[in-house]
Amino acid sequence: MRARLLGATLLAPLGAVFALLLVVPLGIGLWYSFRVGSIFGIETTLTLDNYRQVLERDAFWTALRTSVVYGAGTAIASLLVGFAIARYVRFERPRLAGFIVGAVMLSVLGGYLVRIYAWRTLLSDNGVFNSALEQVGAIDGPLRLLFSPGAVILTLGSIYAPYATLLILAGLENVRDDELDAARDLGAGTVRTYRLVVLPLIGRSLLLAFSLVFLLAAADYVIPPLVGGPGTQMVGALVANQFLATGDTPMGAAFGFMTLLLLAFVVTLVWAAMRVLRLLPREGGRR
Amino acid sequence: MARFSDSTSLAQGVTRAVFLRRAAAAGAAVSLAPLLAACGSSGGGAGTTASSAGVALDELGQVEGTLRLMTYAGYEGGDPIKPWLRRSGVDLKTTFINNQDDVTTRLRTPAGRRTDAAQLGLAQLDQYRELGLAYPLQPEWFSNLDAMIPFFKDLVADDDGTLTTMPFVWGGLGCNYLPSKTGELTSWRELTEPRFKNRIAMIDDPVSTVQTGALAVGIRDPSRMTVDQLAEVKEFLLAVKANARTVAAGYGDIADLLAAGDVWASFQGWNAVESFAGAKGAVVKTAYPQEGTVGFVDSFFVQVGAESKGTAVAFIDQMISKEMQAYCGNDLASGIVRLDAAPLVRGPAARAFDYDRLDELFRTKLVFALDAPLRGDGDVATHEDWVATWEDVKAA
Repeated sequence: MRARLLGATLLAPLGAVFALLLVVPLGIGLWYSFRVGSIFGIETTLTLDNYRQVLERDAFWTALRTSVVYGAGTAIASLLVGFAIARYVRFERPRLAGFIVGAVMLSVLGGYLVRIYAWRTLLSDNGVFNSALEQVGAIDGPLRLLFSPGAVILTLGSIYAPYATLLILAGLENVRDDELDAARDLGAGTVRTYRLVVLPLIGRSLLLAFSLVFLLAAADYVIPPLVGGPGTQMVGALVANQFLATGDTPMGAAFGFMTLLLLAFVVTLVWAAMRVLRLLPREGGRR
Repeated sequence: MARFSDSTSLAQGVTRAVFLRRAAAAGAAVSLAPLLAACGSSGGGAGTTASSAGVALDELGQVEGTLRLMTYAGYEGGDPIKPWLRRSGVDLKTTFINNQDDVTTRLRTPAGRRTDAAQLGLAQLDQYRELGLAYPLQPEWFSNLDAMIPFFKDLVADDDGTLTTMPFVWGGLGCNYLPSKTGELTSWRELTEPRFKNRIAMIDDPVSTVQTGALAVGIRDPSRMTVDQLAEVKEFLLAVKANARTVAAGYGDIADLLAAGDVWASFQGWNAVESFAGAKGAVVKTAYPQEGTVGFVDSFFVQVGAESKGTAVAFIDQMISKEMQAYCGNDLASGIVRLDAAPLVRGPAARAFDYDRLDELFRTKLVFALDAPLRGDGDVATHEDWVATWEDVKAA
């Protein structure tokens, strides 16, 4: 009882900050989303019409689909890369853990803009990749690397994959060697050991890593237009336009809440799928 | 309009600060969109019209102290404005913007309402008049106004003889292209031809893009186009987009894409892109297609609630002085508003416009079009309709 009280007391300041900076503004925004927008202002009338308009906008659904596809693609690619790095560090070269984690952290600290333009330089028609391939005679003309879906996922992944790597590495640190030994003693091969032991033990890390990268990538509307083709309208751009270009705060809030709701639904689906596939520990299991 | 991109080099892409802001906005907009709303004012929209009738210049206050300016990087006057600032004892604090929406949005915040003077593009002139954001300017407050080309003065003059805002630079949003790849371009419709497949860069600016689309389909006054005509514009923009390789974030980006050979032409461009791409070794030209090209005029207005109106007026007067106009022509690669400064513009910037034949340029090539009205007016398409159309085109 005393420990709980102490825990609650220690968490109180954080809770207050959380409430002040997140819950209260979200509540105000939710309230605005049911109001009628005037020209760069808000009227007092209550309405559900903003949400109806959002749901009827083809552009919203197209942009949402684009955001989900790029978000999920980036999250999956980041999980694969992150898992490969984290597995290597945890099981193959644990002594290099500090160095590799440091390198990953360094890449997080690198400039956002610099990395975008670095990829543009590498991928453009006259870029490093195309020039190298042409010089060795592998191609006659430039490959369309830039302004493609692959370029979007590559660039988004290079920026957000480090977060996935750190989360997965933290999860793998909790996998004990004796658990792996027990699996092998019981006759499990490498694949079965990973499927039945390792992945369930790091399921929460995987889910957290997926959710973080997915939400960040799906919300990013800077990178896709810069390295993607003309069909990379992300939902974040639509939300921003309501606030900035048309000055319709209630409509922007409605767009924002619908997006929040639908992206949360995607994450919930992933959580449910992981439960079905037994990739998440059961309640009461080791956390 | 996202024309300027960097406080040190106009030729570069969008600044790091802009990117960071956009990235933050991306996350925040999706997950915390209401936070943005909550931080803004919930005040009403249209304002009342202020009056400056009978107000003498010295009644606006001393020219001294802090001047809070909101404008594009470079428009604050760079190094050439510094001697005047020192002489006048003015401490210039500039908030840099990426487009006109930034001004409109920030003026709603408590910090934004402390702004003394800010950027206003001609396209939004009527909107700002309707919103009551600008303090009417009396012509006699400006010692340099007599030297201004009357055309620009007339563009912003109100019925009572006051000026809503003060023009100081202008230009044309023509078609930038690589002549070595495309030959001469004479019509916007050429950009829908198969030879341009994956060779066009569009610009992510709903207002000027829709305006240019309207001119391309034969609508001479885009601001009054109907909803049906807007649908026609949308079809045309979709045809251009079918050939587009990307929708660029700014004109610096267009210059980079042309210089790298990633695209051959832009819908639409900016005369200054020639200089930007030229600095990277590329030969880029600007076409003014036969259907017409959107012209822009950038200006400064005094915010209606400004604390330092006298200082703001003095600063604006300085920006239309001969020396500062030379700076605008040379360093900003822009058109200037007084002819006596034209001989001071040299190099590539001097070749951008023929100041001896401006009448012909304005009469036959450039259309200084306004944005759509904010409120519905019969079947005339509104600003919101334009933005939604551009969103639909981008999402298609």
